[in-house]
Amino acid sequence: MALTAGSRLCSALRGLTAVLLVAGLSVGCGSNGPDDPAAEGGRDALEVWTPESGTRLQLVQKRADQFAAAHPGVKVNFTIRDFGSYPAQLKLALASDSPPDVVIGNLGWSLDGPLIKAGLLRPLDPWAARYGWDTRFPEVAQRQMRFTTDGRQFGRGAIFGVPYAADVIGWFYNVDKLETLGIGVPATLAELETALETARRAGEVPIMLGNKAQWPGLHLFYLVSDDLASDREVNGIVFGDRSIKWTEPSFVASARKLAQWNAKGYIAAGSNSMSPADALARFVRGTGVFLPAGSWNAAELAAAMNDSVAFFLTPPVRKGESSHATGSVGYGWHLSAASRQADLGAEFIDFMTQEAFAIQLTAGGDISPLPIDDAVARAPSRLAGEIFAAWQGLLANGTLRPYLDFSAPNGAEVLYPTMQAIIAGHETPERGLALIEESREKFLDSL
Amino acid sequence: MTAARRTDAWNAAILVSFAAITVLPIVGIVLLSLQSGHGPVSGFELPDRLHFENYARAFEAAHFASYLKSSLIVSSAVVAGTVVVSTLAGYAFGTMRFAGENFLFYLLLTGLLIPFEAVIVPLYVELRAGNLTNTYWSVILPLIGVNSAFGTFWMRAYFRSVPRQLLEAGAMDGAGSFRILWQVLLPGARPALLTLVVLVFMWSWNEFLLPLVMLSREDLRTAPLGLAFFAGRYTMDLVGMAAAAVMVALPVVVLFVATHRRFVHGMWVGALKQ
Amino acid sequence: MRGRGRAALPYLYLVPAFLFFVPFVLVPFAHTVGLSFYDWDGLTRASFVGIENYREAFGSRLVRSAFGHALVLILYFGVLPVLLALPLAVSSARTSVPGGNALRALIFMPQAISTVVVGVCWGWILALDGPLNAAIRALGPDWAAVDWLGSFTWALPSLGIVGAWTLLGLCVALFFAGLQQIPASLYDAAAVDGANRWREFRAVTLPGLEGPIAVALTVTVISALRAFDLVFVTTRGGPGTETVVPGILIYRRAFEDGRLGSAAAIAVILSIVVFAVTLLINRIADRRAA
Repeated sequence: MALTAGSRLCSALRGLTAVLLVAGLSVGCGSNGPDDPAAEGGRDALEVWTPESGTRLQLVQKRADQFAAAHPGVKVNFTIRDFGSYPAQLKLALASDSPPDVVIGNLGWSLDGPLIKAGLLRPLDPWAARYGWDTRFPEVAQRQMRFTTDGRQFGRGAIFGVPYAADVIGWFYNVDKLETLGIGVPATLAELETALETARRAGEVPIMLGNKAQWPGLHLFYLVSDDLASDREVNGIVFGDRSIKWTEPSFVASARKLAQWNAKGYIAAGSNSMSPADALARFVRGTGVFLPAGSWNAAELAAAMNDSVAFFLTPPVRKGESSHATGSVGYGWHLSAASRQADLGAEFIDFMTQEAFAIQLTAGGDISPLPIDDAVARAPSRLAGEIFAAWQGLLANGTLRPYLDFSAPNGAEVLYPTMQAIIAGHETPERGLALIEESREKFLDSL
Repeated sequence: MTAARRTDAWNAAILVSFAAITVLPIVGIVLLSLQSGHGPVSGFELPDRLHFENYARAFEAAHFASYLKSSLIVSSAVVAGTVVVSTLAGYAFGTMRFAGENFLFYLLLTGLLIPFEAVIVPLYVELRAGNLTNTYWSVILPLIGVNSAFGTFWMRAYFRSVPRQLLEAGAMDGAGSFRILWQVLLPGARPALLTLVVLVFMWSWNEFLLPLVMLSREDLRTAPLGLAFFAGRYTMDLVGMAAAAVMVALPVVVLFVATHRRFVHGMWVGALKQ
Repeated sequence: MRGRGRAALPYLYLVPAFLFFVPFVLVPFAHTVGLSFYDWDGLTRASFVGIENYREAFGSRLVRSAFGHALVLILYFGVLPVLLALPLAVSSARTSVPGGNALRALIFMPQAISTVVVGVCWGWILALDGPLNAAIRALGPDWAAVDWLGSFTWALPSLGIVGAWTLLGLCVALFFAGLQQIPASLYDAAAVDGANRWREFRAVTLPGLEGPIAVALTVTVISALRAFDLVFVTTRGGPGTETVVPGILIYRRAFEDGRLGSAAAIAVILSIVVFAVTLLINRIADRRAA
């Protein structure tokens, strides 16, 4: 036992040490110490976080490249996350010891509010005055850019976000299918419902919806409440007016209509386990007559379907009236409170939100919060042109209303699932909306 | 056929059919990963030819090289750490008498019961304060902590089964406790150690919640995390997603297949010692 | 002198393990308990709120249904595999088919696969136009080809079946090992008594397997109560709130909603439930073994 023990011990120890050393070294190589904040950058690298995807992401990155070209020595590093996990990931990143410099937030309480309340975002007023952000955007947009610095009130106070793109929710439709079915573009809500019925009878899927993420159902709600609820009611919910409640008859009627549509078979079967991206892909491949979705999908749809796809806002109740639509000045650029490159970041933000970019965006098939001269606007596809025209109309008429889920954080806990349950008939509209109102009041009480 | 033979065949049939049913989903996903991806794939079809390019695509588009590397680093470190500390602690619990040994052992055992969800929040805050989040340490250290509870439990069972004479003989030879461990006991502990290595490798490779919370940097993410995000972004690339899934599962499955006879033997032996 | 050194020796061996265990498991758990009495968004200052988080949790429909769903999953993850594994282990012990080891290893395989992979795999199988429905439609009843993971009725049971699939192999492995332990003499005695297969099972096999059954139930029930990974990757708690389990609530409240105190309270309640159930299972097993 004692003879070879010594040598065996030595070789075994050597082996063990080697293993531990390798493990230790490779771990050391993978980690970053606290004195090395920008992984690949160096001092003039701007760390930017975004949930964008598709064409809009490409446009943003192209514009960012132009910024870097104009500022030699500066690099712009993008971190891209998918929309669903973005809020959680962004919060963790902003609170970490290597926070990003510039981030895209989501206006209102859905994302920005908690970040502002926690002091993670920087108020932009000094730069707003310098670059003119407080006068560049139309009134409807200005309200959405503001938050009080204590994070308690949305719609007033300092400017925290500068918008670079806008969204509006509407109806995309398959032009060929509509033609085959012999339907024209609906001019009233009643005509839309007739169209849905006709589609169903012909064996088509009337409404293609991917509600696995639960918020697309809320977008469908917007499309109906655009007609059945008033601007005053929607603004009241979003900006915290307690005299307006989710249980208003107009909201109940909107929710009930959705449940009826589902019961009649207008909404795609399997929508609850289909992601929004899946629904879009299926629509492109020829399933579904109507696709209720946000205008940010325009580029992808136009690229895949060319002139076979078109767009309209929810038609009014009475013929000839102007449409109301739900949308926002979308995501805003923010400065993180902990950024060490605030001035560079602000310059970047200004560059990304100038009219030049608005024109690039429109040329890319998107819409901008800055109204653009029709003469200068060059939409790349018929689809983009339709959306652009509808959007300009909304800006001109002032009939744009904000997203209802800007009104509180934690939409995922009550608002989205309850709306999904209402649509599926698993919950009555009255009870569901009462639950939503209850959770909203709890939130308002906590402010 | 005699009655005994019939029973034998009947039992074999049950076993084989259950094995087949269990394996069917796995076979399905492997087949899916080799499909062409054009046109709807709704069944367990045999692909027209083996489209290995799906794997290449998933590897490229999803930075899987980086994810697999991260997983390898983390799992290896956790295995190394866990085996070392568990062997030492198990040795003490299994062969020595000392005050408070029961209390300390049960304390360690509660680690098996504490759900990770109950620990993750302060763990995150602690590690963030220590500037360790977004490093591999933030995943490795807690995993060693959690797995050492099981590991100690496991190694203690092995050491308890060692005949006393062996220990006493070593002591009489004048060997210190460490030499006894190293020279006398460890050689025979190979099955138990192998089982421990396989289990801990498996658990740390497949760990999801901890890396999800600790690692928000792209270049540090582990494979299951990479798969979850890939599946989230490329939803319509079903075959690519299947290929990515197979790649994430492969290392553990390979390890398992390579060691399964010894591993299974070790598990029976270990389970019997309870 | 030597005696004193000797006495400290065992503790020295324990130091490495406890060096990892205490700061990374015990201390955070203690913190969770402490944190559960505060309201904290993780970033600004925390405020003490006493048992408010617990009161909110017990009064919240969502929290109660989360635990209710966990109980349902216990039936699928725990009871079902145990019931299926018993005859399966007995069968496989009785047969001398070559490769029995390999077959048992195959049944164990799902345990080795990451839950993310399991989620991706079953997400595809259970899709509305996935292989399961294709098979159902081929066999006949079209109406039975449902959107399994999107159905308010079937989503939770579907996840339950997936869990059962994952854990079946583990139970078979445990029971098979346990069967080897039962002395052949007991079986001989039963045969002499003229017992048929069923009586033999009840009188010899089942009592002999009580230990492994307790272990199997403990492991599977704990899996059911935790169940974060699988839900996160497949349904994220939907449709509606049908598949929300405590783990999902904890993650969401802590990392998405900024309600860390509330998340901690739910985590503490979850831990208590886990401890209690484990204790119960093992107490019953001990009593029966006595």
